[in-house]
Amino acid sequence: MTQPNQVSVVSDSDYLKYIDGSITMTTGAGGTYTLYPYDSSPGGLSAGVTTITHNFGTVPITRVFWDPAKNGTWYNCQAVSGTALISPRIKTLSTTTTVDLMLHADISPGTNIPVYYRIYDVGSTAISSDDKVDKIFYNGSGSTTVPARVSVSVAGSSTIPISHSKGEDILWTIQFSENGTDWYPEGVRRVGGPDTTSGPPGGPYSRYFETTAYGYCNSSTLNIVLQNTYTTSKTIYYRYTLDYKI
Amino acid sequence: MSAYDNISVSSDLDTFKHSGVQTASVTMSGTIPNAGELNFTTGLIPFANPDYGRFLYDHSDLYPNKYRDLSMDRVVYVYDTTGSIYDVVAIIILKVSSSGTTIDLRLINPYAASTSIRTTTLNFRYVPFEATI
Repeated sequence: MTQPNQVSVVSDSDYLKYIDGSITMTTGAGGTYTLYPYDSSPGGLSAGVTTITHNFGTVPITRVFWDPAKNGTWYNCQAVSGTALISPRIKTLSTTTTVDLMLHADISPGTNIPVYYRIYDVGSTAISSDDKVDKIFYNGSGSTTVPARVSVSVAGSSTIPISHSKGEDILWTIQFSENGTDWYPEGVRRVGGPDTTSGPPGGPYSRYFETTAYGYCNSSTLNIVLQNTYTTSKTIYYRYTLDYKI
Repeated sequence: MSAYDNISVSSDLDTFKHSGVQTASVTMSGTIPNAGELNFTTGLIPFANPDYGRFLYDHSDLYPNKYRDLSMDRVVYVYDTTGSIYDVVAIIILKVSSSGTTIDLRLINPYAASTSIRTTTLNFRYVPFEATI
């Protein structure tokens, strides 16, 4: 591709500048947070903790990507494949000065898991040419029909491959929607009405119908996974951005 | 492809810019009847459908002022007032609409006895951002 022209600027716009880093993480022996992520179960499965100091003075947002199987396939939010939660995964705890990255193993410990993070200063209103900002090279959107749930514990699922063909790791964002108007970020769940078969007449009910989305990506393809726990198929809309890691 | 110098802004590429931080809080308290539920909601966060956004929240009982990311954690524990086993979980439910966003918390008591929950506050931060220059 053509190398774009580059200009240095000082901007008054509210750009999201960031600090970033690549590290490896290993699950630990309880870590600093004995009550989290296992809030009521201290001493449960372990979490390794790495503290990043940012000193932004305001609570930042963090995009964090990790390669749980150490095979070049990266994730950036909670993801469930079938009934299996992708593990290990990263959680964050953010303050005005630090971000704690927590390697959290639901199933089995992880060792030397590759992690890349970007911590964004949301309190600043300007950037200079010395600041880092994202470089988005592509965005797109679409919709697809996601089949009904397979069972009460397995969502219906459709995977949309997006070829980026960069030959290197990239970053991404994904949003999803049930109506093409109201959009939700990847990793969260849009909750609909209750599954009235999951409780007594009038409730309460233990299950609600949900849709969600997440992505995983290697050096050539982003896969957008759309999921549906309704008992009927569902049209789910998606949109995404792709940005350079370097 | 060529690697970019990562300290310059390219005029041919988009980047993210944010639209201000929105906040909302919800305080949960009360008694949940056996096998019943309680629901709480934040006020409307009046910003809908940006290109992207992140939701953070803290928990007054568990590491206050340390914000979690809703894309990683949507269930939190809420303790009962007696320190007994009758703790419950609160499921965080995001509701986006054309007029904005609200966040609901649904607490289900799975026990055969009622439970009184300890007063617990979640503070939310919503950071929308746009993917255009």
